[in-house]
Amino acid sequence: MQHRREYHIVILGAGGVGKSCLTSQFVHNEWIEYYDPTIEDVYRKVIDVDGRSCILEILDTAGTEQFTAMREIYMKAGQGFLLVYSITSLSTLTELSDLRDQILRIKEADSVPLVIVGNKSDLEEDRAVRRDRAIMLSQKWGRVPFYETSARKRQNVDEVFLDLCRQMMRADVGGSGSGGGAGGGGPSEKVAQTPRKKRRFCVIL
Amino acid sequence: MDETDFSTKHSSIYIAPLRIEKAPKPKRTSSNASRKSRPRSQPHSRNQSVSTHSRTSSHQQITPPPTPNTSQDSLAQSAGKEPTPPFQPFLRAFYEFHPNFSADSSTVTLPLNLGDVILVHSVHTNGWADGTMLSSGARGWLPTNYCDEFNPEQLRPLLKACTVLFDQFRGGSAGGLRASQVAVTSVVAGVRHLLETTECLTREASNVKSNDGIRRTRKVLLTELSTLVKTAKRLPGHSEYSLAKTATEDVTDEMILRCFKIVVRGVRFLDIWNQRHNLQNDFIAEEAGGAQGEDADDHIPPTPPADSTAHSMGSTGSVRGDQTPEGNTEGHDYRSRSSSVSHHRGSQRGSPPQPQGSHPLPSTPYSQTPRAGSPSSPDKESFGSQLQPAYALARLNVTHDVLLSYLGSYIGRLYHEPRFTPQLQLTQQESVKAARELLAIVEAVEARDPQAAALVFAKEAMYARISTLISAAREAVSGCGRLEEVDEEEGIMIPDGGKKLADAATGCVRGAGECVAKSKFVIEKIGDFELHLGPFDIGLGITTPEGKLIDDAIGLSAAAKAELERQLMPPPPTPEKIPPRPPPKEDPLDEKPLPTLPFSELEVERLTMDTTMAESNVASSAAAPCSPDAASPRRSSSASVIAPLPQLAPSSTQDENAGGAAQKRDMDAKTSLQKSIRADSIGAASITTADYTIASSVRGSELSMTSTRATTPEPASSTSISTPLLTLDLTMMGSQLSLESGSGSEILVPEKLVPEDLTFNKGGQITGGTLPALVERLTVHDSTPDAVFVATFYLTFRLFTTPKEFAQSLVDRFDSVGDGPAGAAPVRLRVYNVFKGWLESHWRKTIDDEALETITSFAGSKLKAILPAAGKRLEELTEKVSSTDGLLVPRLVSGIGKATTATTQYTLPETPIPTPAVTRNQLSLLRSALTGGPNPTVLDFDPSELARQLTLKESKMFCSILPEELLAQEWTKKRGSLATNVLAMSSLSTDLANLVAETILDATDPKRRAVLIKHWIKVADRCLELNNYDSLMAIMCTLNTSTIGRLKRTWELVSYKTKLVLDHLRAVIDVSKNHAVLRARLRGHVPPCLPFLGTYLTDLTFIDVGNPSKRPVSEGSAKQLINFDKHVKTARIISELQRFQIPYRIAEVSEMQEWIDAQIDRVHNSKTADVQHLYRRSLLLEPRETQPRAAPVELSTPAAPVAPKESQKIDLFSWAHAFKVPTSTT
Repeated sequence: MQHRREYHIVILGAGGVGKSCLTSQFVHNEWIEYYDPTIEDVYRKVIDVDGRSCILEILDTAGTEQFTAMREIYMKAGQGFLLVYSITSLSTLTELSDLRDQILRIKEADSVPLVIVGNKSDLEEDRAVRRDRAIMLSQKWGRVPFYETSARKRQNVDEVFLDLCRQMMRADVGGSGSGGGAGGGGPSEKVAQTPRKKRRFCVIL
Repeated sequence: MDETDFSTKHSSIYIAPLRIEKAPKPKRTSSNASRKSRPRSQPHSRNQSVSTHSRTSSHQQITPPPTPNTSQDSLAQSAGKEPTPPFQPFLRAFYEFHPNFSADSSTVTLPLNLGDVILVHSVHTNGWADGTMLSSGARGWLPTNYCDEFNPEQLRPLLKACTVLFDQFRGGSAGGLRASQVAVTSVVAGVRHLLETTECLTREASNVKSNDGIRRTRKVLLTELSTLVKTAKRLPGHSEYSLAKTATEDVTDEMILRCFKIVVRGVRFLDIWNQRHNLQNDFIAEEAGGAQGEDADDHIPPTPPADSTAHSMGSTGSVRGDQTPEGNTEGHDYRSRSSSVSHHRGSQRGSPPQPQGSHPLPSTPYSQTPRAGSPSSPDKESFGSQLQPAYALARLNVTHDVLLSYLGSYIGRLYHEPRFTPQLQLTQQESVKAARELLAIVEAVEARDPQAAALVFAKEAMYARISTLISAAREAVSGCGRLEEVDEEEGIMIPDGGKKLADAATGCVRGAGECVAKSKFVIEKIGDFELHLGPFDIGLGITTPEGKLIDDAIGLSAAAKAELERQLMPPPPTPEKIPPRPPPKEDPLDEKPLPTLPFSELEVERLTMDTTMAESNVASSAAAPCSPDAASPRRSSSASVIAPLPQLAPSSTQDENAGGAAQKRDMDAKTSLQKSIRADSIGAASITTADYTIASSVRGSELSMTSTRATTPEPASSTSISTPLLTLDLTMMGSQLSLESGSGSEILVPEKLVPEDLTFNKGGQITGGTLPALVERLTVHDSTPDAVFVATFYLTFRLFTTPKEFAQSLVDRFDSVGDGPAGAAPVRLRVYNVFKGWLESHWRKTIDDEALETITSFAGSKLKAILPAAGKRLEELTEKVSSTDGLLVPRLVSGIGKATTATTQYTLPETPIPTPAVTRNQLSLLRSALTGGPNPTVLDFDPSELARQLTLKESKMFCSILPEELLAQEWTKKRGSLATNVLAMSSLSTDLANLVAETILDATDPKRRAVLIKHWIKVADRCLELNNYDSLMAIMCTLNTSTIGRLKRTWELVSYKTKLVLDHLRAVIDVSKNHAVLRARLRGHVPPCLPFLGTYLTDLTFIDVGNPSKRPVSEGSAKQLINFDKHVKTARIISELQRFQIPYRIAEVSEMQEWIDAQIDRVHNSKTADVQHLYRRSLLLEPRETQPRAAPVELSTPAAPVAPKESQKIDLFSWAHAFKVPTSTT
């Protein structure tokens, strides 16, 4: 399997939850002088997942949340989805359900590679969404992986993309049957893992 | 010979075009081709041996020409008729070719001047050849049919030797030392053959003695040859040198370049020889023959490249927005230009008069060497046209530039070879002459304002400095005999290593700078005026009547005059007698006076010689930082071909003088950077920029590539930064294109700032700085601040400072310059101007009012005390802004966009406004609908008209977007957002998308739905024709949704043809690769155009989020600067958007506008026009089949897994879920 698989990830979520920050942190993790978002492959990144290298193309429409009609066109282009909310705003979490419904409808599937991301975990004092709320949602959606991230501090950013990438790979290999079943076991662990991971990062920082 | 035969044989020499046009070019008709009425296009091509390398018409169509521009004519007409001659490696240009295309193009074309000799590496089937210009070493594509093969008998061995040498080093053949020796020997033999056949082998030969031209060119040729031999000795293997591998490459690069030079000189020599003997070489003979019996004016090859976009624009779809002014002029009357030019040149050479009626001969190819080999390089002819700048400022600048260039090469020569050679002598004379002209202008300025004591002082100092230089030179040569007797090459050793001379020359640079700065200040005060001095005395004549005239006119002090006269009749030998300058060329194409760049062509040549000499020295003493660039033939993806840059020797033994220069080098380097920035912006800014300015910007950007600066040292240049000399030279080159002296004016206002207060990127753009440093940049004392910088600052300063702080910094800047230095006055004026510009055109009342108090008190006290009128005006302005809401002086939509997109093509006002496609019937339908009658449907109207009216509606919103709406994600603010127009547009897009869905779902009959889909596809297609991407996006989004896409029965009724159109539209809006397709299309568009707003919003968001607002001075540094780069980027995106803020020329059908408004409103306020409701309606119209299939119009996404049956239920009620989910997650 020398051929590099290419996966399309779509980042979705309400305006102001820090999607663009998440993306820019991921695609351009070291400080580069010339960060130019207008060039073609700025949102492409080669990553190594469990020894297999693949290309991620990230479609992040940050800034165009008001163009609700455009959403589907983006969703269609994606194979994996990051649904991002901000832990400082409950409404951003509740909006995710609409997005997921739309994705499932477009994909005509009852499960797609997907990760719930609670961003801005560094703003603990402004927290408006308890972690268990998101975990509940995750359970309801069939144990979709859930992470809390801090894009600003670059906590859990890579993990989120890696997890999604694994899911897409499984869906790729498993074909049509993959869906929820295959993904079910793994993600639940992730949910449990997340807080631990986060703590580890806190130590480092 | 048929083409297949050729291509198999020579397949290796075919290389792919650098860029292939996206869309195949429409085949030209002959009527198009004959727009210039070229009856002789066929016979012409007969002569163009290489154009026969380009294959037949069929080939032409298969491989569209990688034309940098729109091709005007088909090569097919001329090619393919002749048998294929053997591949001819050398070409000579016999037409000018000055492509005008955008700097961002990935194709490098080589501008051709008459007589240029090119070494061809390969010829593409379309007639373009990949070649290296011998005179500059620049490599790029050139149209072969502009050239003729070049292989005169006398030069044949030399040309062959040149290819051998090139292949030896470039082709990578590992012949080692031996092979390279052979190559060099063959070059020597080639030169010998040339001299033998022309009977000029010895200096005593009658040919040589009787003709100055021959003698001179012969000498130059031999000098060049000996340099090559010397260079070859440095190759590894020679005992005295052991060089690293990289150095070896430098040497070989240099040798190639040098060999090219030898050929160029040989060609020139032969040209002159031919003239002398009233002979014409093959080239000339052919040329003259071709010209007979036809209007010589028709001598423009009809084939590949179009110089004039003016004509081709209308006919091709791929219109580019980068038309340059020269392009226009060239397009209009190329031929008269080229002929008058040649005439001009012919007489300048002082050769026997050309036979009347013969085609102008390109006999001084070398002199036409482009100094900056960039494709956008200036039209040399305008350079040479010698039109007098009528205004003092312009002439001052030009003269100053000339002076600095001479002094620069003078100092450069001295450093690497402290010998008093004839060349040095000549340079000195030219320096003195330029200085004299400068002083003449200065005096004229002074006459206007006798109070300018500082100017008088500077002028006197300048006189003294020139005198010092002259006397130093006299001292150096005293005791020696006439130079002519001394060995040509050796010259006279200058006793102290040239230190004294260099000192004196440096002093002159400084003095000139002061003079210019003072003069400028005076001019700024009294206003520019027309100069009535005689024409520039710029010929090479050592003494000319004009020169005296100037002297008399300006009344030089007797002593200085005597000194100058002595200098002009110097004790050392005058070089050859040089014919007087030709009368100024009258070029009808130049509508406005061009600044004169008084380089006579011979002077240009000499300068280039300087360059090469300097280069050789660089290579010898260090690891030659940049020179190989010029030599290495390469196809750079950046548009500019790098010409050899003059560099001076980083000699390891610096004398004290150089040490003195070292102290200033940081500043100098910075200055030159700053200048290049300015030059760039000038080049980009004005539509009517004279060629000269464009040249400057080209040179400027080259400079900035090689410039070094102390703040952010780059590894590549760190070796050269240790050599003040190099920097000094760069500075001078910088000043050559700038408005003031690099060093002189620097002394006037001591810079307070540590270098760490500003950072620049490689392009010379400011990337970071402290507020005071940025403010200082805004109010530089010695030049007009860069327009882009100023516009960016005005637009974004509220993001990194407060209005009050900004005002205070300006006041501080005003205070800090103090009373002392004379440079303070311009700074104060600029501070006032910045305030004025802010209040007049960039005032944002709600935010900026907090600064009003500071400004008022400043205007009333400090400013009024020094500049009473300015103080008063500023006070008035502050009153005005506090009483009005709008801007006092409306901006041209923007501060940035219009300034940087000068080349934008606007729709000409004459363009007829298309008549609306509305019938009377439709209008009455609309009217009755508006008064409560039955509502028409979209099907009642013509798709074109719907598209037009939609476009008009959106365009109005788009054009009213203000730049401040786009800053700091203003449009995402939940409440109180100022971005009303941005929000209105996004809301309109969404509503339009939903309207499309509604109209389709409203129809219960699948047939009717299919008709509606087809109708909307047509509307979308018309939108694309109108370059309205925003509406296109909205309509396409809906057509792509699953809501519409899943209507299988409906889609079955949509015709294949319509689906094809849909596929095409889909490809346009493809979101992958960061909207690569869309972006590429937008880049090529000229307004009017309505881009999809979303991409700008995303880009702006990412710039805002992805770039920190502070940046360290350097990596790891604790000191943080304002990340100005972030704001520059923001401003760039905004200016791109603004580029399109040009209204469409579409007639408004008010009834339809109202009707559309009503429809949009209805959808907007409808509670059922959201995704869930629409999807439910879709399900009701065409319920799911038991075996769901991918919708026929599905995008090529990975095969969607077949949904299990249960999913249907979920889906069916998902619209209901939507409202429950929030509670269910709680």
